[in-house]
Amino acid sequence: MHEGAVCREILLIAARAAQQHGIRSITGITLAVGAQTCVNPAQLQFFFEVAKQGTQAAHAVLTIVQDETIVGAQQEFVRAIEGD
Amino acid sequence: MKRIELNESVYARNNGIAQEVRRALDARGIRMYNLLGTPGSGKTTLLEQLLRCDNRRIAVIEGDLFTDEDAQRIRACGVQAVQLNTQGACHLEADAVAQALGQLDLDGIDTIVVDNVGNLVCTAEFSLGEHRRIAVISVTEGNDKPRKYPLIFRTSDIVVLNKMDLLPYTNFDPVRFARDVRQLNPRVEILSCAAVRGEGVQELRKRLTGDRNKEDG
Repeated sequence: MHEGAVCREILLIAARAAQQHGIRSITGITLAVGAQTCVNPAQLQFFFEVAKQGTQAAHAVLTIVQDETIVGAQQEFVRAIEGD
Repeated sequence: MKRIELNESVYARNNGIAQEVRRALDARGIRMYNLLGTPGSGKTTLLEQLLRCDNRRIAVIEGDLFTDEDAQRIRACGVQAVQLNTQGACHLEADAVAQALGQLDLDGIDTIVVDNVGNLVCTAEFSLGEHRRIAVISVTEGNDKPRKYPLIFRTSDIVVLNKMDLLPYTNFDPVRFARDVRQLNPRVEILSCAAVRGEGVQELRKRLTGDRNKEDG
């Protein structure tokens, strides 16, 4: 239900990692979520498509993967970014 | 093309700010409570009744999507209140609470209550730097809430079961509710209350005062 805030943080984390590793254009972001995530994948993709516009992740694809080993609160982790 | 492996929680930034808030509160000897629950569960009414018991040394941060109606209600009890409006967002975050703390006169304050946006899901994911979480659930919401919204019950220290005066008009089963909540969180304390009548409010007040005295000791 808080996909907007989660999307904002994904883009912040990706931008910081891109800067640290000399990536200018982010082409992919992988998000891992637990089985009891409070984030709806379709809604998150919708927010992502809007929020990425005009950023260095404008052409990035967000891949959401399920990871059953993630339990407890706060079940969303940025696992990797890809880019050039 | 490069691939950079990370494993960063999307809540890491908020958690970091929450820790800073908590350190700043600890340095001043202030305890902060995060009041969570459904819209209409009675959070603000409970808070008004608490303030009627004792409005000294307490300040309040109100969170709502729109309006400052709740801050006005708190100020009417003779207590400082800052209203945060999220403009549509479903929860408060630690950076907004940090800013609100800057707007309060904290001299002589030892307790802060954050009356969070009414929401059973999102508020539970965002730490604000609080020392304790209090979930307010009313009997009119039904028995199924712990099973459907487990996180808020798992992460709360106290669950206040409110609107007990309406129990005869519902099919709510307090015994089953307590069992379900304890299954999720064995350390939780469950208090029954009818906030609109002020019943059970003293029990909660004692818990808050107990925390304060433990701090003093």
